[in-house]
Amino acid sequence: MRRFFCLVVLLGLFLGACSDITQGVFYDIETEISVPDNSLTDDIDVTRVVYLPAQTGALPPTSQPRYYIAGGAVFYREAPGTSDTDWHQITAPGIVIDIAFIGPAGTQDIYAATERGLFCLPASNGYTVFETRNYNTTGKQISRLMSLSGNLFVATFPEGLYYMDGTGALLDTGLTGHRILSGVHTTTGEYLFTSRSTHIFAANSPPSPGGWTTPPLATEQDIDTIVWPVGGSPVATNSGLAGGNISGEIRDIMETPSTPGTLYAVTTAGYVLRSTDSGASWGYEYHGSTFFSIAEINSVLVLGVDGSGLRHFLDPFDPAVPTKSRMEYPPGDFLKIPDLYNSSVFYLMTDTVSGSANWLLTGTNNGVWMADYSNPAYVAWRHE
Amino acid sequence: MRFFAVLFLAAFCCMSSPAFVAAQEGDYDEYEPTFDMGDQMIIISGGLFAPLFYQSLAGDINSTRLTVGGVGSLQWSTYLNNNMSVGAEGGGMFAFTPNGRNLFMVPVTARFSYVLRKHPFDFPLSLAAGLNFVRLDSTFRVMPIIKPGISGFWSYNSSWSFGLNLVYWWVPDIYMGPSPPREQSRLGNFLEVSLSARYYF
Repeated sequence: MRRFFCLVVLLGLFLGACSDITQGVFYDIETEISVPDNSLTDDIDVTRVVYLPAQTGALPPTSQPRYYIAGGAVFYREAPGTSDTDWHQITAPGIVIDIAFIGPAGTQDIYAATERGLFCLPASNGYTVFETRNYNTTGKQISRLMSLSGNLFVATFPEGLYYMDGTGALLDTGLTGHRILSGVHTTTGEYLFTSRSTHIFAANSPPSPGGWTTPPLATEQDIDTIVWPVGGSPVATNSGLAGGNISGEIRDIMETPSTPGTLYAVTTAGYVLRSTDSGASWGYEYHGSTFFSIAEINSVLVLGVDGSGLRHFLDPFDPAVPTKSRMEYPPGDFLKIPDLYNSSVFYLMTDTVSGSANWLLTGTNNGVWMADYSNPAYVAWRHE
Repeated sequence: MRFFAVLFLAAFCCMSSPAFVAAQEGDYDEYEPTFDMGDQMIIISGGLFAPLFYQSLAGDINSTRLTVGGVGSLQWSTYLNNNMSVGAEGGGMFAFTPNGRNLFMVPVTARFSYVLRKHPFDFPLSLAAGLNFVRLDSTFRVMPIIKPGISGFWSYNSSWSFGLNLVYWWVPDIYMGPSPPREQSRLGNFLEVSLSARYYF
């Protein structure tokens, strides 16, 4: 008996010495705040969140901006995020994979991609009922929608990239052989698209019927670019992104609002790419996690991670800061919410317009989480 | 975690089943047992765990913000004389925080009991002390624990008895600073309400 208790005491002391905590255990629980939960169903995969401004030309007009999400169906609620406004569901023809909106300001239409095709939720009926017309005439399955500078781009598999002209027809950009995952229209006028392979494709002019008529950025360093001659087949140049050193699917790309001309992209193999010359050249860092998305809010770079929520990306690409120190969990109550920090964050959207806060909306495998980034030193979360 | 709670309660019921089988055999003893030094017993318990409050070092009382949870334990004791016994006990509890995080505590204690008897009932007054292994998410800490308790047992026969326990868990979570700061020290107060099956051998 005496030996047993000596063993227990020694084991306890050892384990106690090994503990490394910054907050009292009971104090941690005592200060835990129950996360508000809104009416949106939690067990859906949300692959897209969009912010639709008030549409004064819709019938009836919408007086408030709205958040729309793609999560099997289309759901929407009024912005801003402070209200507990209920979410509403719009049943689409099929399982909604992605949504995007295009059109003249005030009368923009919403398009939803399902396994059955591409369908429009028009402003003319107040976004209540999907049209029966199927706009997908490609004969392929739609994998992604991208609304870039008023143009709707449609990525498909088998691999292809199409854009919608003024009549609603989908025209082939000529880019084939690569599955496009995301796109961005930069402040310098370029269209950049990322793919499942380590390629970023660029064109510096908007498409016109029949293809790209002006030469794209074809000679930049360290970027695979496609020459899209009119009516011709794309021709790849260069041999790989960033000298061929990165791997994984480039799932997301964005231009930082705080520093126009600076672009970030993330891969599923743990790479973060950065360009400071609007995509002409790229550098990279390796951080190990599977990244799905990236956004900037209130000057904070936020990364969406597979299976572990979010990271703040601090001092990116600063050689004075050790690489390991550049990623941290969001401060605040993030680590007290298992449903959030164990989630996979597929999509990030920022709303810095509605209300007085900076809102970050995350599309995850358990619904939508919304964060108030007004104070980046303490981020408060709510479950939509 | 709820699955493990159900599993534990089911296991407790199964372990109690031999006593129910013995009941069907009509094996009730009339005589009052007495115990000498060296007589031993095994007690298995299971029940509910009620978080009561945290107390800060300044004396403030705050809610634990924990749900009611489950608790179980296994105890071995040996009698010193007919009224006193000493032994060891190991157990565990679980409860949930407001956002669904799991708190686990596994106390390992030495126990002293003084038994008041009124056949066929006996009422052990116990005091246990030892180490409490606490886990909250990825945080692990070892704390001391003191558990005063009172039980009421009914002797079914010379080998088996069944009872109810009320055990108070006092768990000090003390920090000296600077991280975590001393102000985050808390004295945890909890109550265990459990059923027991006791076997003498």
